[in-house]
Amino acid sequence: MGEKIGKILFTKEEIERRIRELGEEISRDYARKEPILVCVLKGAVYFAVDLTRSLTIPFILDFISILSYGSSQEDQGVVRILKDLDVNIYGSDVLIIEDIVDTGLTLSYLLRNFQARKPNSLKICTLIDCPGRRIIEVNIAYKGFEIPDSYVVGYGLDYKEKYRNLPYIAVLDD
Amino acid sequence: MGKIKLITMSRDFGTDIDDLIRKLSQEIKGEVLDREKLYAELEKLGISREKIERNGELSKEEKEEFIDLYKEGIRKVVGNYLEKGMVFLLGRGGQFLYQGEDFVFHINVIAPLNYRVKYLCEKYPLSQEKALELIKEKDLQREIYYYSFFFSDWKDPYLYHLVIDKSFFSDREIEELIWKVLEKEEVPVPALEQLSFPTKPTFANESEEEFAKILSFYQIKWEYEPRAFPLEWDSEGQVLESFSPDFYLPDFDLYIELTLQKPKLISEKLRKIRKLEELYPDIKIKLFYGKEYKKLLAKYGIRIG
Repeated sequence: MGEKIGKILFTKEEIERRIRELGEEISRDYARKEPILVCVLKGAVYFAVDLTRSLTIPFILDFISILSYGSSQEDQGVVRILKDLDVNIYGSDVLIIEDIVDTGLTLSYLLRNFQARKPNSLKICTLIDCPGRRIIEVNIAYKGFEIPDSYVVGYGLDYKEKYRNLPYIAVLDD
Repeated sequence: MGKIKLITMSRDFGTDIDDLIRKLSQEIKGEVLDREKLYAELEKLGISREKIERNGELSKEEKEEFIDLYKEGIRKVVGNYLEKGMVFLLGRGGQFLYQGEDFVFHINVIAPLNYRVKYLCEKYPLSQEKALELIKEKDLQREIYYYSFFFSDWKDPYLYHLVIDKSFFSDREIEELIWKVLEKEEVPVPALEQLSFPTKPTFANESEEEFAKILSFYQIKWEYEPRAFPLEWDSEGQVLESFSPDFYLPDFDLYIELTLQKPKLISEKLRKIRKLEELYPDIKIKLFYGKEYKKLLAKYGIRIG
């Protein structure tokens, strides 16, 4: 694939502004609570860091990493957690931080896994929502932007580990 | 005595099943290996409690080596007691260590949170808040232990032959259940060729098979073309036209139709789907086609067509 960066969908300023708005909304909704924010590695790192900086409530930040289909040359087997949470989410208010929600397959696994740990509440916050590619419906509580069915990179989103550090989000043309 | 020689007991903190097991073990002159007893025996093998509890501080290589040593140690201790009779192994990952072994029975004792809190408050002079705090702490310790030594989740129901909800059964009933296990006689295990296995469906094309693999990877149950929906009938009631979506995901009550054809070539398919939606408004169906479907597969590194 001779890929190249295409149209910029969201500029650095637009992303910053939207994240501030999300931060205010989450701070309002979780007032007097101490949510556990679960950042899904690696793509959501940039978003999670900036989002947490815009929060005005106390919170606990944790990370999780999940094997995704096609990420390994080995026999695929089944999805599994590569790096689990360090904290116990039992009885807590959990907010999953995703970079992008498209098929909903990874997230549906994560939701099932987390539900079994019996948190008090479990919600999703994603920077990008791509509903056109959805296979499994998931309820998204907070979303930054909605995009049509296109492959995007930047601001944590990668193509073969490249482009995560772009300050904007752009379409990847092939 | 039956075929079961070792029972591993996994239990939620606040279900307190240990006294019942000790009583039962005494009756059959068996041995209960709890953490204290096991650790004392492991000390004799040179595996210290301190090292077990502080394994997280070891380097990756040291840890791997120690975990193997620890597991081997448990098996050795349990093996020594098995020579004398029945053994009940309380906790310590017996469900992982002896998974799939035919002389072992795995039990998990669970209870809803409110039961566990109430139980602890009644047994000890604890406030509800303190009891809840203790449960959280112990659950976390347990989670860390299983992940450290077995890289696994003890909540997986497939690890156990029997899961008992302590809030539903009385001690006497639980005792009876365990007696049934102890009395279970040796039964011949059927040979692999005597068992019936599901057959892999014949997929219409490679992309459908790839899609099935993706669903299976994410542990999403699927059925391939499980149902044909009649779309048109003649005056005699004979079905003239029907439509069979490619996949059905029972947990989401969702049908999925896939095609690599371009939009302009799928007008017939779209007509059928529209008709299906009219006739069966409660049916949820999603269509992935052409470039969109290719993009979806490409996301998972699959290039077709």
